[in-house]
Amino acid sequence: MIVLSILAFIFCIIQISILRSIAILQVIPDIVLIIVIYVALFHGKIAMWFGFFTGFFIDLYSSKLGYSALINTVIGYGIGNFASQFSREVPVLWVIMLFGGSLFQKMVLFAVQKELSLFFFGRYVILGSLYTTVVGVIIFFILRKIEQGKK
Amino acid sequence: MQNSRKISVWFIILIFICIVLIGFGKTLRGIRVQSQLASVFSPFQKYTLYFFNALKIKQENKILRQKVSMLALENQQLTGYKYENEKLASLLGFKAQSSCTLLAARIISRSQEPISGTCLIDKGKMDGIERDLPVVVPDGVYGKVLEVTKNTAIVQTIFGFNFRVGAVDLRSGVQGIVGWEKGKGCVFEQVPVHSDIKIGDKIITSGIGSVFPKGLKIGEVSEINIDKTKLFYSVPLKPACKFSKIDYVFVMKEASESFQNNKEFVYESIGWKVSLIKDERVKETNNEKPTRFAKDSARRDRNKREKKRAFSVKFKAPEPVIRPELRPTRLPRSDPVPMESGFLRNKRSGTEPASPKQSGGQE
Repeated sequence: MIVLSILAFIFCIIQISILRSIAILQVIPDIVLIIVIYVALFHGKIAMWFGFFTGFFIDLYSSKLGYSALINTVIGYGIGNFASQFSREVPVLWVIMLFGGSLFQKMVLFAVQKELSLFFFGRYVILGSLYTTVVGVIIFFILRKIEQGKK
Repeated sequence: MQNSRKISVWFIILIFICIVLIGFGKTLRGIRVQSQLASVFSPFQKYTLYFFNALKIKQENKILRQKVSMLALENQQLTGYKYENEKLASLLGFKAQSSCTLLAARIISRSQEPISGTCLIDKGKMDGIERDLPVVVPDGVYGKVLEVTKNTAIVQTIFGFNFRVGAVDLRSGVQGIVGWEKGKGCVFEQVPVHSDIKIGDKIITSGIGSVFPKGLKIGEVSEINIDKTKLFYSVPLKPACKFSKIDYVFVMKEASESFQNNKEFVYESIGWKVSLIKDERVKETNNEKPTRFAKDSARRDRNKREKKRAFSVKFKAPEPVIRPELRPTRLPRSDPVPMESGFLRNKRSGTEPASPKQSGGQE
């Protein structure tokens, strides 16, 4: 859990600093959300703490304090509660959880935006969720290999 | 079960804190606290960016180095083009001013031994180049065409030891031959010792020899060392053109009417009164193959002679004294012709003698 905490902190730093350079059509993957969903899937409801602190960290560098913290906490708690009923090693479940979690986060953030447009929705919500899902699956495989190797 | 309830309670507390944060973040104090907290983590952000940028900069540096070397190469090329452009512009200016038909040619190689003074140009028979055509540059005479191939031609430059051209001092009208002398370089030779020659005198082509038209710049007298024990002396010249600095030359294909008129003007201006008819007669007497210049000159002069009869020979050749014993009727055909019977030789070859009675000026 300590390793995952450090990893979450590193992901937060990367998210706010250098991730902009790998943007596709100005859309970047949310690797902080990926680590929250990973913890939720494989470690349960404790992910709400990850969600709160990582979300709070991201909020410090955004114009909307508290929103990411709230959303990430809800996602961590919700997926942690939901995933306990399923087999967690199925990649399809990862994809569903990643895409669902990302879509929820971006929908909420889209809803609180002052400028609502279909272009913005398509680009930042749909494309952003897809991008996060693809990158998330890769990170999930890597983290699972690391965790299984430790065991 | 208790643990699950505990987590749920904590979840509700966290949600409450988030809602409080959302409200607090909209206040001025909240924004101030937010920025202060953000600055706590800024060193992490800074070093991450620094590390990432270092990698990026390394790649950029590699690309920029390549670009710099490419641009340096391009710059060198452009400098060369600039130099070439300046030269070509000056040559174009010269061509526009010139009243002759000029063919621009590029020097593609030069002789390794400076004394031979030849160079190869990129124009040949296909471009209408013929042997003995004059080669000029804006500064003056450069040489003449020595040999012609299909696409190239060898030019014998004024800097070669074989080069000779009839020349005249523009100021005093003193005639001589410009050539190349070992140790002295370009010289104005066959100049009588008592001639009026001064340092700085401009030497131009005289037109004798039928290769070069009259009035082309050759150079100027650079020094005078008079040796009174000789009948003629050689005056060192400073050539008007620089052999090594020339990349483009012009082959003079034919001279226009105005240029020919200019020739006469040059002759008159230097006080040298000799009719062109005499030039023509000399060529015919020597059975030389006349060049294009000579042909043009002869045709024009013939027309003028027929119409006006105005070109008189002011410089009268001495009337040949023919002794009765040397008359051609008395000589058998196989006999050698005596030295003083140049007149008779002309008679036999069918050309007109240089008799003042038959020239238009005597009528």
